[in-house]
Amino acid sequence: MAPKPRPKFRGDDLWDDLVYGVTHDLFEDPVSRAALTAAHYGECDEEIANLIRNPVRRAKTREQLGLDDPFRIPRLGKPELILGQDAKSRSVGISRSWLNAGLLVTGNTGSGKTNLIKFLLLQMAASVEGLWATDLYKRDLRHLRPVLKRAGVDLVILTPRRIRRNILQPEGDVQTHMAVVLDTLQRALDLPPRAVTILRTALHDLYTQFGAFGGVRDAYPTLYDLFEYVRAATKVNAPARLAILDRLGALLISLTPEVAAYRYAWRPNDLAGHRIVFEMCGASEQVKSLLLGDLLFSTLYRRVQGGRSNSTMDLVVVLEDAQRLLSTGSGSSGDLPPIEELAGLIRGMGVSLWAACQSLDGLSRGLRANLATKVMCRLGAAGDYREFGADMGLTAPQLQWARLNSRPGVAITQLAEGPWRQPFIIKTPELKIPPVVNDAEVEESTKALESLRLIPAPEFANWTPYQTVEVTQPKKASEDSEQGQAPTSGETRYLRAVLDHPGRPSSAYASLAKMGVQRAIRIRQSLVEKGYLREHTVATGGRGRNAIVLEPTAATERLFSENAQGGKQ
Amino acid sequence: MRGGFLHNHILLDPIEDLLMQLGAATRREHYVRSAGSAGFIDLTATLGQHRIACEAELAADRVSSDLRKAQAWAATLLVIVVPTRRVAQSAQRAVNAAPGTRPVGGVWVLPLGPALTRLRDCFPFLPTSKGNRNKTTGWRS
Repeated sequence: MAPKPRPKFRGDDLWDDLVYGVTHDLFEDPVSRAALTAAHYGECDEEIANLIRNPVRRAKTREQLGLDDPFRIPRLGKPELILGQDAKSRSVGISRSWLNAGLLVTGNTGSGKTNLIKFLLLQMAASVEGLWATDLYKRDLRHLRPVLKRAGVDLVILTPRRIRRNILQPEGDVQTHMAVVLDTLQRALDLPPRAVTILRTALHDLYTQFGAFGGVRDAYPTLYDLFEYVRAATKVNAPARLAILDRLGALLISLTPEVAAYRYAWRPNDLAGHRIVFEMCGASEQVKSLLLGDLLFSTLYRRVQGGRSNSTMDLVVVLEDAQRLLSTGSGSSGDLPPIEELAGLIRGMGVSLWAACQSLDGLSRGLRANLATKVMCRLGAAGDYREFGADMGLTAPQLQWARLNSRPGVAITQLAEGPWRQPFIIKTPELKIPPVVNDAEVEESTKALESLRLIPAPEFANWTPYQTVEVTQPKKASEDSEQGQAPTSGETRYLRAVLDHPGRPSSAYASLAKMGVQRAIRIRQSLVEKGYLREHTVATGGRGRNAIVLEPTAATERLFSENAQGGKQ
Repeated sequence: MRGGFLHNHILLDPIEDLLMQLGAATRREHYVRSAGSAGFIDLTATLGQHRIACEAELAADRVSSDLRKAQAWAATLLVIVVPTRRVAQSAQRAVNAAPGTRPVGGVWVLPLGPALTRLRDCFPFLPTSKGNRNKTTGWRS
């Protein structure tokens, strides 16, 4: 019997099948690998050829039926940070340092962005020195606190009212900080160019007054000083001045002196040593933009100025729902590079910037380029799929698969660093963290920041944007003539009646003290002010208004005991 | 005696006077003890088979403790006297929310005036006995 012809290895369809199988990760099992090895050494009979062809045939059938995804399984080496699971339910992990290049997560509502961010935060929080996570609209991240507490991480939750920040307080070079402040204010207040020029002059004068250029480092002007400066500067361009006063005044009202009236407040550098959730829901968009923008820009510029290069990651900044914060719509003073360039500069400075957005609308191309690791969750717009898919290098079948198969918890990822640049699928497990952190716990968490230095500016404690004059009622001549706080004869009579008939409604004492009702009321009020009587409200009857019941104080008893002793002597 | 002027003289004195007029044997600061807790009932009154515990409260935060003490003393009625209707409302809510059994006669949470009226209406008139009022201050010693 003539031997069966051996299947050709190269130059026919077996070679094509082999290439297809390798590029689609079909030969991962030991038998397939052994068959490959045998084929490699020229031992390729019909049985070995079938071992190679069969998985390929099955895979092609599934692909044509739309049952398999057109993505490869990544080979990433030893994992430090788990992103999720691949299509074969194996963990997909990356090196932590790869996230230095920034992370951009996009997905519409309910697509699993926050879940993925929380999953990563839980792993990162214990291993980085500082963590700032912003929760701009929800109160979701606060519930990580008890979970992280078990890992020894004290997560601080800061609501807008608990932040203590003077954005005019420089950290490092005053001149550069002035530019940062101008940029932040212009971004938050959307000021016209003339107003920015006035603010620039005002800031320079204020820093000079407070000696900041001369090296004074423990008292700085506040935004309230800036407002008062502009209010007093009546000779500058009137429309520009009014624009500043209107917008800055409204901002300061929302900000409140409790948050911003400090000569020396928390420094971003101090905060960079803590793990903090900035829970900004409830604050106006201006306040969010100002406080977060200031912290972010101050920190980033300081690091850029410091000239650190290729340092290890020590601060993770997470911007949840950052569409508005990162939007390129609002203007800038032009003194500083915009955030997208900054995102590129900070890569080697130990800051990892993560942003989660619902769509690409408003995000500049530069920002997308510099937040290099990309995660595409389920999107809601064809344009977003097209643009983000192109950014991630998705092929047409991959993009089509993403359009039709994206669902919550499933995301397509492309890494910026590491050996694997091809996009791949991850499935992030759904975290079920019970919502147990209440406002009392939030209050408790801020105790970690109590040790930070604070110098308030008490003169602005009751600040209003409108000038007020305090009007007090002048004392009557008869009251002025009273010697000290001693009661008059009428008041003494009233007190005697109260002592003799305790517990009566105050209306009863007019007749008991033998005086008119109106006079009795005046005397009662006077005695309360002088500290001889204390008033209590008690419902002594079945209906009608509550009665005022008078309690004689120790001063009354002392007064009458002295009188009694004087009478005896 | 614990408590301030409002507590002792404005709220409790009239109640004690009335209960004594109705023929009840009263006692201030009655010490009670039960498993796990101990304390003083502001005023207790025994009138026939009725055992009335009376507590004066200026706020609603100690109401659950009042219920426990009344239960420990086996009171048939707990009267919580408060200064105003507003406090009465919040105390009533606290009573409704508090766990545990209630005295068989119920829990009255009333401002002073209505408390006096209801006690007067609900208990039989008996020969009065005058309290031991202090002649100089007029308050109960």
